[in-house]
Amino acid sequence: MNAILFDMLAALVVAAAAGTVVQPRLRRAALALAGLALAVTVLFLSAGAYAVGIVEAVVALLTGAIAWGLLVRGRVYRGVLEVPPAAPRTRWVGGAVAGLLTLLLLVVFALSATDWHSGGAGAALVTVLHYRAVYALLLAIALVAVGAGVALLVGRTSDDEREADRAYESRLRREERERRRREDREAARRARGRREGQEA
Amino acid sequence: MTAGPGHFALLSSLVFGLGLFGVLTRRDAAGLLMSMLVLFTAPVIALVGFAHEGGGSAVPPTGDALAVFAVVAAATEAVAGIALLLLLWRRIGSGDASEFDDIAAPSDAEA
Repeated sequence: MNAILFDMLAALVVAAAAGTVVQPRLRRAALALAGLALAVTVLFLSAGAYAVGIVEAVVALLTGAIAWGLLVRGRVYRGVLEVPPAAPRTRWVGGAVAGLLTLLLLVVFALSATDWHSGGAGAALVTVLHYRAVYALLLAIALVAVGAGVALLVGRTSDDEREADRAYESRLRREERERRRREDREAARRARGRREGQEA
Repeated sequence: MTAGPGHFALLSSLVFGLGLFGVLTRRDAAGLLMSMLVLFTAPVIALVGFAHEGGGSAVPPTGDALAVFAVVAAATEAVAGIALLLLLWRRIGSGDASEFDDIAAPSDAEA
């Protein structure tokens, strides 16, 4: 892969990743995450990993569509994105820990820079993942099925929650009606007062 | 000049560090979830770099399969995380991760 192209894509990836973790507003952070997925997809395609690039793009689109449908279009859950950003009191601790671990990774990679193993026809580690690629793909499919099942199980709305939601919505409507009625009465009282003042 | 596995390793380390920083510092649950997705992108970048730029391209399906597996695992984590986020939102009406500690309080009191 061309080094200049890599550098440009790497800069985009790092900028998007930084935007995702630093941006306090969730909508902007989500946009940065989408940019990260796009930049990583282009990086993979440029590196010749076409299958991984396509899977990354498809997975990012599907996950983004699910999140968009539930959090942005869904009336009930819109408030999840409207939570004011919490004050990051532990930012310096997190920065130090993340910096140290990143430094550790870099040192390990630098020390083993000349020891990249080119691999061979047979895998050295006889594990399910290394032995045959098809097992990894089958496991990935099983993981998707299990993940979707768990998500549906965890995220489902039970009968009592639906009942509570209905009660909550009817209470909101009732309060809204009462508020309007109060405002109308106030407006009528003010208008009557003005009229009586003019007549007097 | 071409980019080798070292370049991908460096990029992977930086993305890992940024993701970890987000996981440790963000307190809104949705932001925490997004930071975890950034964190999970790092090993995929390293896997692709090692498989395609490290001379291991003689057997790319193995590296690609591992990378695809990692991508799918990250996406599954994201979907399960969104479901958990919605559940917690319905239960406590907040997306602040620091408030999730209070969920265990009633059962502790009962015990």
